[in-house]
Amino acid sequence: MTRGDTEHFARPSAARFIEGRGHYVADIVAAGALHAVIVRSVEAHADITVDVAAAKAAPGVLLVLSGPDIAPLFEPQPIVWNVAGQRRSGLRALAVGRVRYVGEPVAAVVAESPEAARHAATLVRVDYAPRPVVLSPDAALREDAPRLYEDWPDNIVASAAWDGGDVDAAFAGADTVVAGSYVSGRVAAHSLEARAVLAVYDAAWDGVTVHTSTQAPHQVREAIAHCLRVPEHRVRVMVPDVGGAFGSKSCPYAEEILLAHISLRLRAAVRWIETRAEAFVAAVPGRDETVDLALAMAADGRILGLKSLITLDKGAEPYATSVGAAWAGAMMMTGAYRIENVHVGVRVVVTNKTPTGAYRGYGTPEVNFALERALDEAARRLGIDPAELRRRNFVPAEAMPCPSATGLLLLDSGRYAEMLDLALKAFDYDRQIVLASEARAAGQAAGIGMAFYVEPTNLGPSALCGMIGIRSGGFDVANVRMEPGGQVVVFTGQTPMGQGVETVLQSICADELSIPVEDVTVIHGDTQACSYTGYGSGGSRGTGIGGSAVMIAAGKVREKVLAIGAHLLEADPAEVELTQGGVQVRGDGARRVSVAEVARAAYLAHSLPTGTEPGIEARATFDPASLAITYGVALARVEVDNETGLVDVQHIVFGHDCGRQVNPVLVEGQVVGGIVQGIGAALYEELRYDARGQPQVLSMREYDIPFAADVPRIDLVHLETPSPFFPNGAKGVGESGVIPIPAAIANAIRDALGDRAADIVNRLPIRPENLIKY
Amino acid sequence: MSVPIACAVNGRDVAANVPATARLSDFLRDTLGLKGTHVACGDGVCGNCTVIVDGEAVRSCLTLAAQCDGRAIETVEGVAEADVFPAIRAAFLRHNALQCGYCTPGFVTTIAAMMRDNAREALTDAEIGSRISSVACRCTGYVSIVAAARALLGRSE
Repeated sequence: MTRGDTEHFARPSAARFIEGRGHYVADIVAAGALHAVIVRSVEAHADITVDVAAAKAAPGVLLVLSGPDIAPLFEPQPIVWNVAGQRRSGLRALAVGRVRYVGEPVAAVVAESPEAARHAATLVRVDYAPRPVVLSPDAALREDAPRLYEDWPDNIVASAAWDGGDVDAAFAGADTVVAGSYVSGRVAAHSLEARAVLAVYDAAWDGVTVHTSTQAPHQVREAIAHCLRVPEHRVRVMVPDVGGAFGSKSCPYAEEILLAHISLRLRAAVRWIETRAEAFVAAVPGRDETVDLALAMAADGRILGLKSLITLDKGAEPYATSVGAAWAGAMMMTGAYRIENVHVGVRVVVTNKTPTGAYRGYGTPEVNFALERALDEAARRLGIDPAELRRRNFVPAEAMPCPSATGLLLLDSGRYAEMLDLALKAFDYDRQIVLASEARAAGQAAGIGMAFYVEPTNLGPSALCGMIGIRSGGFDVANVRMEPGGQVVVFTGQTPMGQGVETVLQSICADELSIPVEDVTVIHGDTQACSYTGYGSGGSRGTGIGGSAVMIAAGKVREKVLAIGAHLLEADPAEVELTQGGVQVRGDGARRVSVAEVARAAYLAHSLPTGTEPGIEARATFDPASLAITYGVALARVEVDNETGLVDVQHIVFGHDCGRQVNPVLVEGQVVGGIVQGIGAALYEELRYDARGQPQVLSMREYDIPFAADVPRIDLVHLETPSPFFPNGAKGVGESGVIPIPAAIANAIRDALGDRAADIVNRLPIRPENLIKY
Repeated sequence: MSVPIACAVNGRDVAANVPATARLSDFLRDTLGLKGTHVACGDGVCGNCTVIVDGEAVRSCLTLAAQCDGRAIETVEGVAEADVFPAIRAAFLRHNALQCGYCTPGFVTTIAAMMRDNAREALTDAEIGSRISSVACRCTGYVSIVAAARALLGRSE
């Protein structure tokens, strides 16, 4: 790719963003809008009584709601991911009688101004009768542990196990067993735009338009309609520009339901803007998972068997994406490797912390960290180069599509060994080993590390979604309409959030119709304009699934353009082609009509081929046959300061294959952005709690994300191996970067510091205070 | 308590009575309707709300509107009209130096202030990196933003 291409692939929205004309929920001007403030629990676990009398009497206040007010009016929130046997909490938008984490919504105050709402919120009196707290799965799983839900037999939301082969025999026959407990800390997706909702009553259709910063407009509409017992056509969800999401905006939230209720009830517009302090306790964080893993190894480096137990700290509520991350982890546990004998268990446990949800990677980074750390220890113990050990265990390209031993994962396509070799060469691997070794001999704590990864993308097959408990289908719908002037409007259920999916869909449509991209407009984020889609944007599915739907719909439009064009040319439809914005008789440029002329004829309808409907529009649904498995490898060079323990990540080489790259500039942006988030999770970021369950992070001052100066030299290398299951060959890319980076950095630190770091680096984030040599 | 202020915002004279506690970011967004200034942390950490006050990049969430009496304030909307802007826009597009766009105004104002800095020629690589590190981005991983800034400051890519 040359630099000149960058502008070719640029997004239509980019110039607008640079000029400061982005348009996020908080930027929408709504005359006379009321302001809502949510009063949140300040205790981690307590019975509560709420007195709103003083708040109601405050100046400028129109409405104050608490749990008992809404309990008879609101249905419990739907659970987005609902596996067999999963326990329910009956969660409503405001806590009823009991709170289970700091930040849980207790009351909503609606006033004429933000100041009046904030003042009245301080007058809401909440009496707390504290209960004992549980803050870790270990504590929650003890027999005498306090229960979060009295009607549950324990604190387990759900558990399951899968087997393949004969794992006991494999371990009995092992030359060595490598085992460890690998912890991924609790981290925030931390989009720079926090959440925001503006609900506007519309008298014309006696309904509510909910403007919200979300990845899943149809799911938000579904939740609002269900919880408020309102028909879906009275709720319109609109999504303006979204200032980052990374999974955290993929579930419906209590605030969206509350604001819709308030708007319908008061027949008014009402706004809620999340503060950063709220975002740290009220938006769903990710990870907080421990993977206990044992690998049975043969002396020649083959993995004979794998046993693992995935324990996800769900926080206080099983709602939203709930247990899915642990289930996804079980699916991805065996990674890129042929492992015949497997046992994987999962358990999801409630604690008195903010409920975890989706965050970029969604279960895969956690198991990748465990597996790639363990493989590194295995290589050391067996005296085999870590790259070679991985190579000996890869599923070979010719064996694909290849199911995992548990049957949970189908590796669809990929050239794993070729990818590894490509990245090793770019890293100058053999020389880096020597350099690190020489640096250590000179007293420097220098090291290199690697991690290979596979990533489940193009989340779909609706049947698979049903099997694994996702409450929606996995298909996507596109409508493509050619206007009488020959320009085209694409309606999609996918939602841009910075990843640029709108640009991808625009170019797919333009290519299919051989018209300029400027002639294609993509409409998104509007449940009234766009058809219902199974799952919104998430699971790295925009290009593969949304793009395939657009491609198929645009293909139908193309067929009609060709048929009408042939009719106008009085030619046999088999003899015409669509090229450079026109239909022409193959090999005869003189017999040609432009797409615009065809469109005009289609809408004029004075003379159309027999049986042809006037107008040109088409709808297509795409429901994939399988997931698409993106894969790659990260190599890292680090140096640790022996005095301070600070880790200097000096170089990262990232090898990556997401199938056909529809837009290489956006692919690069996704991978690099993910890598840097991965560095944050590996070294800096953690949402900590004290022993009483009080969150220790309420400001960005307490949550270190990477800044520009923290970013090392990053080199990318690519392969493009198309997925056999997608018309456009594209696999997803959104989550790749974050997945292998923690393991690659941990392995590099382990290499730098030797055996003393073997256990320290198994817990993320790897903090400098733990690396100082005393 | 209100405080009378008179200042220039994007080259236009503005006179207003502002609450003594009002932040410059709120004054710009809510009173003047300049929504291009985005508040992300409200604590002075992320720099997304950066505006230019008398030539210097400052955090508008840590600046009181009342402090701006007699000052010249330039927001991203003002930079978008300035001489430096066509180059900034071209460099950001060329390097794909943005994704969700929320932090972008913070980088645009920060880089515009650097481009006008009389000492820009003398800025070391570390100083450039340090100034870019005053703004948080969660999407791009910064590589593309640093490349755009370096190009705009005449440094090799």
